[in-house]
Amino acid sequence: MKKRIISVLIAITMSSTMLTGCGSKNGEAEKSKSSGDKVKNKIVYATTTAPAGTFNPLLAYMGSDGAIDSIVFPSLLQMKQDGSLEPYLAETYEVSKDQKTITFKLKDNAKWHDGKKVTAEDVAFTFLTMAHKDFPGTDFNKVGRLVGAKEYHEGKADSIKGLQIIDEHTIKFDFTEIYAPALMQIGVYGIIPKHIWEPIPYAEWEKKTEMLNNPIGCGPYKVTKYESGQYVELDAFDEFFGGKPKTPKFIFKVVNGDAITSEFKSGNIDIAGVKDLRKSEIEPLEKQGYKLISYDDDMYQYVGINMRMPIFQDKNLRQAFMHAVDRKLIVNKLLEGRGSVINAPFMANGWANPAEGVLNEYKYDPEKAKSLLEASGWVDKDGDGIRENAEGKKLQFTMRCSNDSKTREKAIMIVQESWKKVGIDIKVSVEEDAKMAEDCIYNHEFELYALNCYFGKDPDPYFWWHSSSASDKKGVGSFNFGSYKNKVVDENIEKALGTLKQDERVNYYEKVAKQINEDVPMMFLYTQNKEMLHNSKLSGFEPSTFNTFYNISNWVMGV
Amino acid sequence: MLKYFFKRLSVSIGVILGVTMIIFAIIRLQPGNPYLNMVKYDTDPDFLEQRLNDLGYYDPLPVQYLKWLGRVVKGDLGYSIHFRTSVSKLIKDRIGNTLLLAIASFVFSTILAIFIGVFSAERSRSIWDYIITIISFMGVSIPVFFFGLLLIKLFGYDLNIVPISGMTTLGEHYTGIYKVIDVAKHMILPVFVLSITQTASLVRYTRSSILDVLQQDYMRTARSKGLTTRKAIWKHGFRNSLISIITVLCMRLPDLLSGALIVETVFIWPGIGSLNYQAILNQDYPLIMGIALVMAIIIILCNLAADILYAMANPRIRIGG
Repeated sequence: MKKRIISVLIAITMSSTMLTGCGSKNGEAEKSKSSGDKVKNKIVYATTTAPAGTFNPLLAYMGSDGAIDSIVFPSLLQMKQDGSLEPYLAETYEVSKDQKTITFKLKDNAKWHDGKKVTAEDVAFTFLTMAHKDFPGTDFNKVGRLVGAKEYHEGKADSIKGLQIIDEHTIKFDFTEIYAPALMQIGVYGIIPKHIWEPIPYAEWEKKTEMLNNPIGCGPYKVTKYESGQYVELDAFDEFFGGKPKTPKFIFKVVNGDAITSEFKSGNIDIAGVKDLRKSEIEPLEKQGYKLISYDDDMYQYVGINMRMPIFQDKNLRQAFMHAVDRKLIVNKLLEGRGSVINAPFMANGWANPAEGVLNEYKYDPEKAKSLLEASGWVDKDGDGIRENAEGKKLQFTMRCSNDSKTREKAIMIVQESWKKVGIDIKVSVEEDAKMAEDCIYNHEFELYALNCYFGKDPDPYFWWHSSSASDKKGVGSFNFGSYKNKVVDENIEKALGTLKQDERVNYYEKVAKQINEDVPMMFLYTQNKEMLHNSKLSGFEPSTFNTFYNISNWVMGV
Repeated sequence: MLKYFFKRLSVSIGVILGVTMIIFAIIRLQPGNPYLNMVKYDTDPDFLEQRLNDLGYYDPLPVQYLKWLGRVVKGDLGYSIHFRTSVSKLIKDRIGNTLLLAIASFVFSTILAIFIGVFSAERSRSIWDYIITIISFMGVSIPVFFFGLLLIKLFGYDLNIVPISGMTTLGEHYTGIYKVIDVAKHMILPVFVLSITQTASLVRYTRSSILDVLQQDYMRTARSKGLTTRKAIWKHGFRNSLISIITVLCMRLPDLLSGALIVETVFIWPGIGSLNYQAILNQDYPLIMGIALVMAIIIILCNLAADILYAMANPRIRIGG
């Protein structure tokens, strides 16, 4: 009898779980219908990389943490869509005649989220902190050119001489030399509150998880809840210096990159980056009224060439690399036209990129590639389809390709095919990103490799293209990976650094671009557009390459 | 019995040590270092050297392992490089969510599997039996992430009736019973996906185990004294095959935990699996080791429990082992 009761019980529990399963599904259907018009008091922004919870501009290194920081911690200036700067936390700023001094005057109505006033003390504290030798951040270089910064960094001085507080709302930066990116580096950097962080010894900052997860800034939104791996919830800060934000809640939601269309469809998210989706996935959503915004990405794809090797000293060979490949085809087929071919290390629509027609576009021309190779003595004598020189050295290389982008892998397949047609044989080896970084950046052990690189907010190419950024010593990292050294390039990079005037810099950068374009020390492939899809009811959303959250306090979701 | 228990326990501890040693070696043999993601073009190389030195990155591998072990014995799992918080806190915050998923699908799939298994065994070689066998084969072979994405497409995109990611509704801070309901709704898809492969393999096990028992002499006796097949199965057969089914159940928890890694990543469930995924992506050594240790302990405890339950049920094993 007992056993029968047990089996009946099991049967009941089983059938009831099945029933409740169905029941809650039905319930959900009703609920999601009714919640359709409730969303207007919040905007949900989707991210595929979970924030790590380091919400402090001096310590954050993750992209998604940086995004939160840019909302919570306003900088003195901010970037507009065209790449120029406008005052943000600062009311005004002034560059002295000799271009070595910049003075910022803060908005006097700026308040921290805890109600205290934002003063010049906070600004000074932010930059002093990153210059301190005990501080575990990596940004000392940003203030390294201030008068007295080195002495302070080495512990020989108590403060930075070139960092002067004039009055409660005015602060002056004195530089030892004119340095073009200075305004960007100082101006576009989140300011942190002195009264919160000063009591914490520098070495302890990283361990203050509570404080990092619940930051106090002075931006339009303040973090109210951080759920690791799930979401970050921000509430409007009514006393924001730019006026009360129009939407009460802003939420960062972690999503699965493969489920973005479903997330849109079920109304879970309002904004998401969709550059990795196929056109065929985006179009149905556009038809349903979602809006697509497309703009330049700060990342480009390229093939690096190890200029340390004698074989690659041959300019004809490098130019042949370019002519042999139909890069337009890569953009049109692989990126579905959503990108552009680049020919110099400057962002296509950025102010530093030379005007059209200045650079050699290296149009697809396999015949030209062949004649360039022949001019350098590369001929296929033994008829195996691979060219060799007089000494019998064959044009055979290993191309290493990082495994973090399928599109890049396919692009490299096209490169391999195209090169084969002109007699260059490469073996493609797809590898872990970390392995590539170690070999290509640190140990310089490679022939060719395919990777991505980023443009900085300021177009200064010093760290990638100046000869002093190159390292030929094993184990010493350099971002001039291929070790390209050219006097003209060096000179013009230096000259462009010596002025804050954009129109002068453009001229110098044109010379840099021309030289690099001529020398082909790197095979530029393409930049993929950055694309944002958003709910059509959202207005005020005007993202640009370096400022996705521009004017966020004005974003509003219609009913 | 006690002697057998201690013998098993000491073997388990040895296995835990071995497992952590192997994982330690593997993660340290991979190229790169935990600070690689932080490197920018203008990062001072000396600064990085300093950080790596502080971390003990340049010590010989065995020394690093012993240092790690020494701290663990004192109860200190270290400090996550990526999350900038203590590893034990991170694991503590997340493991509950994983257990919630694992236990829910454990219960769900167990009940489902036993009933389907018995049903199928009762009708052995009938059309129903074949259908169930085929479906369970499919359930075993379908990749979890694919099945998950399929359900997201179906229920999120086409039907739009159940939440497809996360654990709670955003921006709504439900409390009490509403919170329970909210979380339960978010659990539907992940639990279903996690259960399906589990159910499939368990169905096959239950079925064969009962078929095995059905052929025993005592079943014939039961039938001959007038019981129907169904009654004989539930009264005598099920009970006798339960012993081995329990053992299988114990061994299944590890499967659930490893399945959680994929399911949690697909459904953005904030458990130990998605934490582990992030830790590996960022080469967060202390966190990877911490999670590996916790997982190893759970899995080995499950095995230990299985061994002991089995021995309790079947004395022959104790003597042999």
